[in-house]
Amino acid sequence: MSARKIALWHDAGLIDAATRDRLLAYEAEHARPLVLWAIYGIGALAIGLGFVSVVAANWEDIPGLVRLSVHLALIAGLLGLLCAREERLAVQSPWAVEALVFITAALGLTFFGHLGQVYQTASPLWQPLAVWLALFAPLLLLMGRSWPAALAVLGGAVWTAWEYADANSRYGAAPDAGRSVWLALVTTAPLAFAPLAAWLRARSPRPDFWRRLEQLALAYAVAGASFACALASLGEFGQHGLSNEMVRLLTSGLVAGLAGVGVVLARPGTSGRMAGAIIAGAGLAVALCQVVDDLTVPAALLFFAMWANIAAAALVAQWRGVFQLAVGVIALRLIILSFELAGDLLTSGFGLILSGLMILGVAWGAVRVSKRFAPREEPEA
Amino acid sequence: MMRGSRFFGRLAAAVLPLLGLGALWVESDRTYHSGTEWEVPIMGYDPRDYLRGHYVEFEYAWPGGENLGDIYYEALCLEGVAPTIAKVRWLQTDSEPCAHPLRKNPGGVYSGDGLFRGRLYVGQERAAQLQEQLRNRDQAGIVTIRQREDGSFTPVSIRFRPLTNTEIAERDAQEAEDQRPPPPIMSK
Repeated sequence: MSARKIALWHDAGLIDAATRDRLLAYEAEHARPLVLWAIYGIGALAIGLGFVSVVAANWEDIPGLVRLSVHLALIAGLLGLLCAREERLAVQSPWAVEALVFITAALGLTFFGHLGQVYQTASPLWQPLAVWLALFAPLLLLMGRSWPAALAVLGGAVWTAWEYADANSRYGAAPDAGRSVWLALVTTAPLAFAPLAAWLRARSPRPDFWRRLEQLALAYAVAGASFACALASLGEFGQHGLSNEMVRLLTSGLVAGLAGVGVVLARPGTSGRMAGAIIAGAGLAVALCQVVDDLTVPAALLFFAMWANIAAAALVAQWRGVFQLAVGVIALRLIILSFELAGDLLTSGFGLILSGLMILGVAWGAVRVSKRFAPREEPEA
Repeated sequence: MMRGSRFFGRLAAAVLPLLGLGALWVESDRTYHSGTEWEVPIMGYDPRDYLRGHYVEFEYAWPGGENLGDIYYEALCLEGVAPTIAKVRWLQTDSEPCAHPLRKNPGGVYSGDGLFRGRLYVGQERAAQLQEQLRNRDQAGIVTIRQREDGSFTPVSIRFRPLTNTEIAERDAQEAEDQRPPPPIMSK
């Protein structure tokens, strides 16, 4: 890509041959093959998902013992390869190691499904997920090098936690206070990866993996808090007896706050402080959700406050993409708020025109803000 | 020294999943193959599971189940000579003698409902076939379960048999009975 441009500049007489060669040499040395990395990652993901489907299809023509033996032998082979050759492979192509680790973990997960088919073990989904996490998290944490492995660890933890919470609160009855605290602790447990990853970023030979893991934990906190705010807008928290929802939200908020403080302590510097502020801010928003339950404007304001905090943190830490995302999200929520408030006006054409004008105004404003105030492109934290 | 401990860490991380999966396999295999086989008539349908694929879900139609009453206990007692169940009754206390008990598994996927519903994982082609067969009203579905001494049990296979002429006649008579208009005194 840039090589073509450099050749063009040379042809146009803008740079001489020596400059061109030096530029080409520099580019070749500093190239980050982003496309190649993405392809490796997506390829590994596709293979992993493919295994799940192929195994789930349950080929009954092959005896269970043979199928399971082949499956376990495959896992053993990959584990053996990783154990013996990981360091050497990583020098040549870190992405090959990443893809192998991810595929091994995916094969491990499907082994549970496979056992379930052959031996008819119909346990609730959180049980096999939890055992998988216990067996494979050490491998992923020790050998992961980028986002697929980080996604497997954090995604696995989040999936397990919510499957567990779902299986234990199904019958619509209000759980007691102790159970509320327990469920809140389970669903916020994946946030513990944030301070751990923040601490290991500077201390591990695989900083990229820990950076991704910390980012994913942060994203989980923000997504969870946004979801809680949306539920508050819909008035969902008033449904099962006030006090226990309050206990659950406060506990979740507290854990997120502690995780935020943990990140600040584990990773000194602006970037760490801002990441911690975002996580703690999300926790504060969750803790306040009960107060604004079913109140249109206050619930929206809480959401705005949380995302404004994110935008401010991004501005301080110079994260251009995060800042623009925050501005976009606030704009989108503003548009939704206009519909929430103008519910009855909307039936008339006048209301539609007003909403349209407001949407255009908000979109225009959001683009201006994010262009004018967004920090310059910097390597992201 | 540093390199050595790193290697052992990696080795442990690689051996752990292998041992864990292997142990689970052995345990599942042992449980699955133990127990007495019983045949239970069923009614059912078919959905699917993220991890394990297609399954047939069914309700157990326990022989004599209509006399169980509305109070649910933790365990049933099977009476009869395997694999034919003559009738079932509730085990109201743990000390009650019973040669072939079936207990609820609170950690199972149907938890409280585990004595009345079950599932059998099958291949995707077979699932479609079974779905078709379960819709055919002139046959009865039968699931074989393995019942173990501790009261745990696992469905292991499913088959169908055509209803006999007497059974069809009984069913039709019951339906005619259900569809008869209410007597005049009720409709006033």
